[in-house]
Amino acid sequence: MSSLKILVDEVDSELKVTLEGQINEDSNFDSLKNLKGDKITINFKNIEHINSCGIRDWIELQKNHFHFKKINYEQCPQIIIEQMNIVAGFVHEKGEIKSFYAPYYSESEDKEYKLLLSPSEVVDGKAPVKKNQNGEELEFDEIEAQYFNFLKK
Amino acid sequence: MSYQLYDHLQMPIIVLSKSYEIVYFNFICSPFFGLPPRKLKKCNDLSELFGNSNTKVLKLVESLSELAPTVSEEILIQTPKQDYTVVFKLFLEKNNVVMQIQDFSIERLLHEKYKEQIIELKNTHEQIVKSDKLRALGELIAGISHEISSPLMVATDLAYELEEMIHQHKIDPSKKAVTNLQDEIARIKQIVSNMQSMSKAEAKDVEVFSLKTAIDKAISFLNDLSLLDNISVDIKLSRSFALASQSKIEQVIINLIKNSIDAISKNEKKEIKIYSEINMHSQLIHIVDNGVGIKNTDEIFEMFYTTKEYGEGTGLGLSISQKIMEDSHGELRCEPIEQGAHFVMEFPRLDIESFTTTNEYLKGAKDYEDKKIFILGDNEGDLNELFQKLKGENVVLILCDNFEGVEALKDAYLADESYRLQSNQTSLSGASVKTVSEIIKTIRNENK
Repeated sequence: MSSLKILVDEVDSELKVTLEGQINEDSNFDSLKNLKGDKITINFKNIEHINSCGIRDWIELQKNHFHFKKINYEQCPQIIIEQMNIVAGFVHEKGEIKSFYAPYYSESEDKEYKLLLSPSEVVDGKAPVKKNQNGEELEFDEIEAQYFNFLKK
Repeated sequence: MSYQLYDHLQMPIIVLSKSYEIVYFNFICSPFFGLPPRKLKKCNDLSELFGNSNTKVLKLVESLSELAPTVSEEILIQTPKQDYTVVFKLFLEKNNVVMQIQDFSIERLLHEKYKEQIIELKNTHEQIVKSDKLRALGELIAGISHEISSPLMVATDLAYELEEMIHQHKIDPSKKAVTNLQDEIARIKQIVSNMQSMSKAEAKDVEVFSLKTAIDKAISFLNDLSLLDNISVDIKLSRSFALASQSKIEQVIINLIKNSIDAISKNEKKEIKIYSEINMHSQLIHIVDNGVGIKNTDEIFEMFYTTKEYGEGTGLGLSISQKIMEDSHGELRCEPIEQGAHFVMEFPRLDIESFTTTNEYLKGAKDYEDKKIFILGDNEGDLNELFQKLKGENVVLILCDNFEGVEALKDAYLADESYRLQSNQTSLSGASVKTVSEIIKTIRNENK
C-alpha cells in the first residue's frame, strides 16, 4: 500500500502539489500523470523517506508526464537535496529549486537546526550565516562543496 | 595519502588504519549513516557506526591478511539511521584497510516483498480455482438433480401404472408402459454416463479420437443440462481425428459453447454454428455464435479476464482452454467477425480423407526420414492400440479411410516397399502398400 500522499491544488492557474510520506516502490503517481498547465510547484517538505525505486519512478514520471513550461521545487528537505546531488534527472531540465532546507548546528546548545534557505542566499558555494535565538552564530553542519552541488546544475 | 577519488564514488567508503581507527570516509557516508560529517569525524572506531552489528564487521576486517588481501560478505548492519543489507568488500591498501559498502537493502526488500506477494497470489489462485470447482460442482448437481428427477418421476408414475395394469390383467397397455419406463431409465443412464465421462477428465491420457465424437458428446452433455433449449445449433463436420486427451478437448468445446450460450442469451434468434475445416497442416473446428461479440480479443485469454457479471464467471475458462489446446500441440484463438464471436480450435493434421485432398500432403510425407505407416480404416480402438505400440517412436501416421486413398498411395509409393500398412483388416495388416493395392483390386474385381 502506498505510503505517499499527494495533494494537488490549483492557485491562480498554477498547480501546487504537496507530497507527504515516503517515495518508494509502492508510491502511486497516477494522480500526477494527466496534469495540464504551464507551471507546477512541488512541495517536498513532508517527505520522510525516499529510496532508489521511488527515485526511478519519480524520474520516469517527470520525463514522461511533466510537459510544463516551468517546474518549481520548494521546501526540499535534506534527504531530497542529497538525491538531487547524486542522481541525474531528479531535477527536471525545466526545473528550479526555489527553497530548500540546510543543516546547521549550535555547539553551545548542542542542537541541530534545519533552516529554510533560498538559492540566492548561497554565494560562492558558501552557506549563509545563521544565528540562533541567543544571537549565536550557527555552524553549517555539512560539507558545503558537496551539499550545495545541486545549485551548480 | 589522498582519498579524494573515493568522493566521486556513489557508495560509502571508509578507510581504516592498521589499528582499525577511521582515517577517512567519503561524502556518501554522511547520508548513509544519517550522521553529519561533524559526528562522523568524531567516530574513532567502527562500533560507533555499526552498533550491535559491529562484531560481524570487525570479524570480517580481521580476516584480511596478506594471504587473503580481499574479502567480501553480505551482512545485515545496524546504523544510527536504519538497518541495511549490505555487501562489504574489504581490501588492503598499503597499511590501511579500505571498506567499500554496497547497499542491497532495496533488492532484499523487494525480494521479500515479491516472495510474499507471489505466495499470496498462489493462495488466492488456489482459492479461486477451488471456488470455481465448487461452483461448477453446484451447477452440475443442480443440473443432474433437475434432469434426473423428471424422468424419474415419469418412471415412477409408469411403474404405478404398470402395477395397476397387472392388477387389472390389462396386458397390452402394460407393454407400452414398460417401453416408456425403459426409455426413461435409459435417459437417466445416459445422463449418468455423460457425467462419468466428464468426471474422468483428469485421468484420461492422450489418445486418437474423432473430433466429431468429442463434439457430439459435448453437445449431448449440454443437452442433458437443457442448456441448448431454444438454440439453433448447426453442426457441419467432416471426419477428422486428433491426438490429445479427449476428455480435456471435450472440456474446451463445452466451455466455448457455454460461453456462446451466455453471449446469445438475450437474443431473439439464438444461433451457434460448429463446422470443421482441413488444410495442408492442420484441422480446424470453428465455433461461431451471433451473440454480443467480444471487444478485446487480445485480453480474453488472460487469466481472470471476464466480461460476465460479478459471480457469473471467474475468467479462468478461456485461459484454461487455451492451455489445454497448447498442451495438445494445438491453438485456440478468437477471430474477429462483424457480429458475435468466432473461436477456432486448431489441431495438427492427423488424417487423410481421400486422394484428391491429400495428394500434396502425401508428396510432403515422402520427405520424412522417419518410419512411415499408412493406416487403413478409422476404427478408434485400432488406432489407439497402434498409437500405444508406437509410443516414443518417430513415426508418421497417415490415415486412409477408403480404398481410393490406398490407390493413391500406391501411385505415389509404388516402387517403395518399405512403407507398411496398418489396417483393421487382419489380412492387410503389415502388408506393403503395393500388396494392399493388389488385394483391393482383387476384392473389387471379385465383387463386380
